[in-house]
Amino acid sequence: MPSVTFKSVTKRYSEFVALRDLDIEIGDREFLVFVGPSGCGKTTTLRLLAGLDSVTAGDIYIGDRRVNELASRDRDIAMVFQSYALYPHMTVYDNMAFSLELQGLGRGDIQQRVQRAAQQMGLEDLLHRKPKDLSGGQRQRVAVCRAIVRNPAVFLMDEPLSNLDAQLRVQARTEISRLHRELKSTFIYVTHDQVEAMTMGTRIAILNQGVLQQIDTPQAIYSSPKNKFVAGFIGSPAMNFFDGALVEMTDQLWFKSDALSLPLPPTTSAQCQRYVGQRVICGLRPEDIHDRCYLPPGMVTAPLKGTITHTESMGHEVIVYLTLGDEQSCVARVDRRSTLTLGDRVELAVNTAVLHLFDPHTEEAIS
Amino acid sequence: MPRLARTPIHLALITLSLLWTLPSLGLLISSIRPPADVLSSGWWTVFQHPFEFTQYSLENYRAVLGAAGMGQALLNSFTIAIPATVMPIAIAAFAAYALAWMEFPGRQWLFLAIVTLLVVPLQMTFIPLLRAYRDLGLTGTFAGVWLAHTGYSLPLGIYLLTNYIRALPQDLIEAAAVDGATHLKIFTRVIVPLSMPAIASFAVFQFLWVWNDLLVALVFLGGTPTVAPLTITLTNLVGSRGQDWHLLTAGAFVTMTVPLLVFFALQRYFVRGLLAGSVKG
Amino acid sequence: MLAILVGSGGVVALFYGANALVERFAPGRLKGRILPWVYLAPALLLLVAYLVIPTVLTVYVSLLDARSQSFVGFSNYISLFADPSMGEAFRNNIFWLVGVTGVSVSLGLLIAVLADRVGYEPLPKTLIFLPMAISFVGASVIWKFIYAFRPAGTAQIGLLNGVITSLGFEPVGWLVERSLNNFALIAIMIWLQTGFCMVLLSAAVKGIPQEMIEAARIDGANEVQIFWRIVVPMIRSTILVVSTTTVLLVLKVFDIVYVMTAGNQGTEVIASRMFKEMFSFRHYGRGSAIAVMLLLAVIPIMVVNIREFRQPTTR
Repeated sequence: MPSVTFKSVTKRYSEFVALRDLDIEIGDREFLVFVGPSGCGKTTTLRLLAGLDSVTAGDIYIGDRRVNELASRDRDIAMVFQSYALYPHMTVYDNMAFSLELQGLGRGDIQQRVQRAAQQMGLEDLLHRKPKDLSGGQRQRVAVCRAIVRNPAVFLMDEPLSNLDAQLRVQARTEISRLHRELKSTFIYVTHDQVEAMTMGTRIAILNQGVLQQIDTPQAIYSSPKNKFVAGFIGSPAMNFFDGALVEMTDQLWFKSDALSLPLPPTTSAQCQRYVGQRVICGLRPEDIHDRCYLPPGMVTAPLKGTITHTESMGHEVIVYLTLGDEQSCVARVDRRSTLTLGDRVELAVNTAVLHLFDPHTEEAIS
Repeated sequence: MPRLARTPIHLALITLSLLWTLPSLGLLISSIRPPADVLSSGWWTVFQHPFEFTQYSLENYRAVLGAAGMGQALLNSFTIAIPATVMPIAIAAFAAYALAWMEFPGRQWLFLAIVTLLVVPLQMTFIPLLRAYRDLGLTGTFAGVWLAHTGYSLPLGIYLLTNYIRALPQDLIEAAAVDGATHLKIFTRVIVPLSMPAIASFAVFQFLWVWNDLLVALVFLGGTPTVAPLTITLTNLVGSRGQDWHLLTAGAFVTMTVPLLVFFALQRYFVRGLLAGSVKG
Repeated sequence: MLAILVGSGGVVALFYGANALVERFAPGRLKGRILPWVYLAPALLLLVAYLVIPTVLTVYVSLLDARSQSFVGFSNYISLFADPSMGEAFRNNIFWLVGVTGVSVSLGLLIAVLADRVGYEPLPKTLIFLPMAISFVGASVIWKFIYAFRPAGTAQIGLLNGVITSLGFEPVGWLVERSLNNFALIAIMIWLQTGFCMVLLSAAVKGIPQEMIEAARIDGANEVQIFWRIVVPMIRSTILVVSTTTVLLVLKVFDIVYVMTAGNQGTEVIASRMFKEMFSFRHYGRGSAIAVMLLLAVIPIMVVNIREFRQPTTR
């Protein structure tokens, strides 16, 4: 039984369409991450589900209950806000007890549940502090704790980690993943950070300009993006794109452009055959371009020639920026032992097993 | 700046402070001198031997609170001022919440219309209201003054509180809604506690305004002594016992005690209230 | 006591009751539509009853005769302008406006700037602000005592005449001398209002970044030049708010005149005149006409004030 369903949901703010015809089924106990650039409609989706905004068209179900007209308080949801929205005049304890009190629970019950939730998040010692006396990380934990104390059917989280510094963010990420495993309920999480999306979600939904682009597991989205937008959005540094054409030579399909020519793997599908002789876009992830000296054994590669314009040594890898030919530039992530230097004219190796091809007009993937 | 060059600054400040304090000081000293002394010599003569305590007495206060009716008036002032402060706060706060956070058509327009009413001077309303009061039998009743003060203070109260409540973070109100709060709960548990600074400022301003008001009381209470607040009683005292300075000074000080207490106890809110109330019609 | 409880508690109970009614009986969708109006209703009711309707009626009554029986057009207004005692009230009000606003704003600014430079700043500020807490009536009694007049030769109990006679002059009847009494009344208002001006202006002066003053000093400006060329222009909008606020207050001044002189001996102002028309002469037409003129005078100042007030100084 899916726990949340969007049926062709559209949200319009006067002229502006924030969300267009969204259809999603979110399964019970799933951790779904909505990700996309700012203004893509991900927060709108969450607010519609929370009942903070009303839909223009379509239906939203939680369980099998249609909730379009239901007030937030009757939807059995909890939400963690980006700003945390802790009540500044209440202690941590009262912040957590507030919703239980409104449900009409008894004192003893409330205390027990608050204690248990606080233990789960390691907040026992902070219960009598006010939010202003907490650090950023503690506030974030209180905000999460305030949600779990209610034991709702669905957790909603709106960029809950974006106000933390990098180190805390990594810690909080694992914390939330752990909670999801322990609580066994449905999490719906909004972020603009692809690392959060990839590491936390059981599935990822990518939105752009109010339209759902792809919804799938993190691995599937990384390895077979459905279109050029998804391919470019997930992965860092972003995928390289080359304009060129598909040609057939000596019983083999080739991607040809001014700067490079790459043989396609022999297993290419029938769909590819239809693009022979046509223009296509080829996508190459930076991590699929290697320094020839440090090739993994057994990899089938093709050469890529260019001039190095800039290098960034990250310690565990080196990011290399090159120009190929006149206009075309390209980024590669190569082995940390690599000694490529600025200004070198070099030949790198492309792993031809993982080329991504896109239709230049629809920008859809050619599989 | 060199030390010496600042002497004129010190001098000017001290002179001005003295000038501003002398009038009240004279009143206070006179109010505790025996009637005969008050009328026969200036109050400053006590400084010839300030520690001769036989020249002071609280007799004037006994007289003014008892026979002169200031005791009853003090009670009346409280009876008028407290509800006339609570009522507008409650009414304005609810209205402000609706104007700031509830969805309904014409919200902006309504807020603007209410702010516009700030320009109406009280004097504009007296004649029609007096006639209505006469017909309804409200003249000379506490309820009549409460309602009048409430009505007059609402434009300012709604204006101030709406601006304040509107500036509260939207997330907090939404969090409360998700947490299961109804509008009434959001209002009482989140909005009111968070708006306390604004409410306190408005309360202090409104309380002092009503306490110190003469005009509205005079118009709607008329001359009835049983309901007259301090301001009216003192004014009558000036008219009827204009030369009995021992009574007048003690009476004036009685009217001043409560505002002065409020001033010293709640100075922060007092200042903020005055600043905020400075646009009152 | 009971009255206080009933008056204060009643309103709160009213809201809870109405809210409960709506929560219980209104169906889901309607609830959201009705509730805002439940919260607004008491406010709107009172506003309409106490401000909107009376204002409209007053404008209408100002076109009727003394007893509001027949329509007389603008003749109330015309007779007011022709009336010498009304002219006197206008003249006095203008005196008040210029005197109180000019003196208390400049004195307030002076004190704000001076007090900023000494270590014991709060003390003079508190002393000068203190009169703000005192009612006009209380202040009037205080000053009536200061102006108290005894015939020459007897001991003076009023401070002012005490000082004058000790300097060898004849005692003066401050509140009866037509050349002096208006100034005597205006002084009371200055005493009350300067503290208010000072507090606002002081906050504004402290809001000027210290670096700017120091930059000016390095550029070679002396203290006086800094005051006129840096401080005053930077706090212009506060000066405007303070001035307009004072003007509004003075336009409607009533209590001081009513208590001190009842408007006699040439001290009438607009508001005390209106009170007389209403209660002494029972001429509702002319009383209303004065109120309308007051409204017309207030509107433009109020507009300026609200517009300026929205930006600075509030919190």
